[in-house]
Amino acid sequence: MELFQRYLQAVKFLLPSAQQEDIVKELSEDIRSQKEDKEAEVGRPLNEIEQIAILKQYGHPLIVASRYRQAPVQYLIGPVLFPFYWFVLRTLLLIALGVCLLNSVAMFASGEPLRNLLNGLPAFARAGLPAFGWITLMFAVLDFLEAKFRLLDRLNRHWDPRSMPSLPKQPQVRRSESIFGLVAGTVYAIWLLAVPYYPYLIFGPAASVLKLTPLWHRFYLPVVVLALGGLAQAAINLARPDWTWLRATTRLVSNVVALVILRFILDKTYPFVIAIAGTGSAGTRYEILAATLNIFIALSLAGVAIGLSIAVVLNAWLCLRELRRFIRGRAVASGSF
Amino acid sequence: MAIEPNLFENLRLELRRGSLILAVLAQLRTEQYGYTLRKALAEHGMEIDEGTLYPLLRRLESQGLLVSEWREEDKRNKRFYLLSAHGKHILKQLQAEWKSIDSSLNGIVKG
Repeated sequence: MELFQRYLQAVKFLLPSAQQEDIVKELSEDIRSQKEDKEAEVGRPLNEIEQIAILKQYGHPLIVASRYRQAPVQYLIGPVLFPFYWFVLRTLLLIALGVCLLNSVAMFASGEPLRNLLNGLPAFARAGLPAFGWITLMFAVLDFLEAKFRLLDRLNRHWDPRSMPSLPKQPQVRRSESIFGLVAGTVYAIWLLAVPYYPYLIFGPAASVLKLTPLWHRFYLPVVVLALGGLAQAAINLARPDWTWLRATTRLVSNVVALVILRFILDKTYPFVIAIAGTGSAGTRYEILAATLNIFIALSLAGVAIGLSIAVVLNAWLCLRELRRFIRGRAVASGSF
Repeated sequence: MAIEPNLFENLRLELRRGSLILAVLAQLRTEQYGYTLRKALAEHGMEIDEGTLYPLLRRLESQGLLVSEWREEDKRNKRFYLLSAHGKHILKQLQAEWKSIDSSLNGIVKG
């Protein structure tokens, strides 16, 4: 009997407290009846093996107790909300990862030792774990409310099939976008190639008194390559508008390289502009002009760096989407409507 | 494609799950306690394990289809279950539904 009592005790511990006594009393009665029937059948008290056989028939206390639970929510996040939960969680964690990677690239570009890049991992954990916790909590509350107030049933009652989103069109780079990229890119490339010979193109009438510091020359070639890369992408997409992956990839690479260049410029290239002419009060005026221009350029470049950081995250997301589309495209067999 | 190991057993249980409610309700037109109910169902070929039967009885009672009371019998306290008035009404509807399913399935399975 001791084995049966231990079993009942284990089940009781796992039952909802309000029903513990009642359920255990009934279960105890059932086990007792079964035991007595078996004993009458074999004509002697049951041995341990036979008692075990009876309890095995009932099942593990965890399983037995779980069948009595009738709470509205059995899951932390149920199957209805799970796809949305997974999507939001994955998106936010990818963004956090992207920002940390970007930070690591920028640190590396600014001359930090390679081992310091590992600091990105705890940074990701610091950003990712709270995001995971909050998103999970938010969806668990939503799931509880859904089960409690039957929100999905209400939604189903008022659902109109016409409200569903329209089918996605085959993604393509718009022809107008490619033509604009080609024209603007050509103008930009010509301007870039002409700048070393015609400083007027940067400073306008002030070209006779101001010039860029020599350090700019270090970045000239990468900037020209980036411009030509963008031009090539626009030209290819004009011919192959369905190669949307090319636009996303080119933009991501351009943005990352541009960010690295900017980091160098902001770190090592101050002042950006110097006065080259004028004496006396005119010379002082040009110095002030150059100083003002340097502050303006520094602020502008910092703004561009922020914009580029956001663009890197967005383009990284677009690249991942393209990659997923590519993998799905290969995996999906034919046979749709 | 890999075949699920207990596929037949799982499908069999799924098939029986709905019909068990009908069997339990029908059996409880006369008052019984859990153990005798299980034995009676087994005698009719509807084996049901304890872990399924007792939670099912509680659920049916909470839905108002059964009533129960603790009573002493053979010097032992037992919980007796009986079909309620509402349960009788639902049982009639379920029986009609069962007949309809049975006849439809017979037609489909015979082809």
